[in-house]
Amino acid sequence: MDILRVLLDPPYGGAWNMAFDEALLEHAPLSGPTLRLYRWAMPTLSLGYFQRYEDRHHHQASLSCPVVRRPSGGGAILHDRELTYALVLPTEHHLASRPVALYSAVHQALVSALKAWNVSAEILWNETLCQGSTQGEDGGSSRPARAPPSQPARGEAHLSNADNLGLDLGRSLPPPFMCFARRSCGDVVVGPHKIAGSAQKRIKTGILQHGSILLGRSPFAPEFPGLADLLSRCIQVERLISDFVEEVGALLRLRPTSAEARSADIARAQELLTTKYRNGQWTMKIR
Amino acid sequence: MNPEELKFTPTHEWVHVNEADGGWVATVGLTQHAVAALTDLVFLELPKVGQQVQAAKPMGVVESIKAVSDIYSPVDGEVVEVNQAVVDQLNLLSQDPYGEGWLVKIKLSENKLPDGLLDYEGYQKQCAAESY
Repeated sequence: MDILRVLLDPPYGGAWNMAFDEALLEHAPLSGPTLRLYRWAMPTLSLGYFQRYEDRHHHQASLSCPVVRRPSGGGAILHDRELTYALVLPTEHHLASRPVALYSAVHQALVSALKAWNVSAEILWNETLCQGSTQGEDGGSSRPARAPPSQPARGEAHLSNADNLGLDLGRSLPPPFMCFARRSCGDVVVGPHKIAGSAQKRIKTGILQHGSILLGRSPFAPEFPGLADLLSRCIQVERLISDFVEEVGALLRLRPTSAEARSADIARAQELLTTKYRNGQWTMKIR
Repeated sequence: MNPEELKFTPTHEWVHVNEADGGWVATVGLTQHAVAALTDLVFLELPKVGQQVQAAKPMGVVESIKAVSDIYSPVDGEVVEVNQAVVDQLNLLSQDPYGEGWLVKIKLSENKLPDGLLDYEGYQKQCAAESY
């Protein structure tokens, strides 16, 4: 059985976290399958690749937090009381060319890990709910305002399965700004609350899947309860990581093996840190 | 455009070359196979007119519900036209990937196609081998 390199990193700043994940992706053919788990040095807002920087101003609670743009897609995430994972697979892996299957496999791993804790997490499959959204408990303001007619709002060109179903699910509105206010098939939910979401970046030599698992409610995104709030008990993060890693390995048919960061990955991440992720042009590439 | 007359990259772009003003201009798009695999398309980012692009290097990005994917240039050259209609109406990509869904036109640096492009039959074999 091939190895799944597991990197358990201490908390770093947002720019480094993104730079290192991109370096892992670029080096996927050399490094092989890698799963990195980490927290963030300070509460940080990460934007999806195509999100407008200015839309962060519609999420008042996180305005004081630094912001970084991810290489992966999807909605904004407030990284505070949460666990982030970055899974990198080279093209040769059987799931690297099947993004939906990979997304589902990792989320199934999380559901299985939580099942051992008697947590009734499940994967969202209902087609109608998948295309919907929630504004969080406060009915709040995480959906960006619509752009004026002369400037089409990002997302208005959204072409979804709903077209095939003849459903009008409000897709003429842009999707909610925050990832955890969005609903997509494959999301992990506990009751009505989304507790994990993922997004990917694909290049010709590999795939990076970023994911976020909400551990607790953050004061910088108080509309989204985490596992601790929903279960009314503390979360043992180390045990969650251990169980999750084991389940991911089983589903990917890889043997999890603790690893250290490769010097080549660190060197490339340093370059990306300077040229891209600490560069305002990248963070504000879409204003 | 008839896909059987096109050339293809291993990364699922198609290319068709015409002669214009003594040079070669390539029309480039995403294949039907790629568009179907990407499913729910959300955003498309293409290079600007005048931008230099290199064969097998990223020239754009497409986002579906789950994934941001690079789009690779099949040729070396300069972008001379961008299909803004497809940026504004992503359904053109799925409705007519080999026609109205074209992405960019590139004036080739040299009047020849790079090695490594696939013909229709070779591309079909690659698609069959990939288990999307």
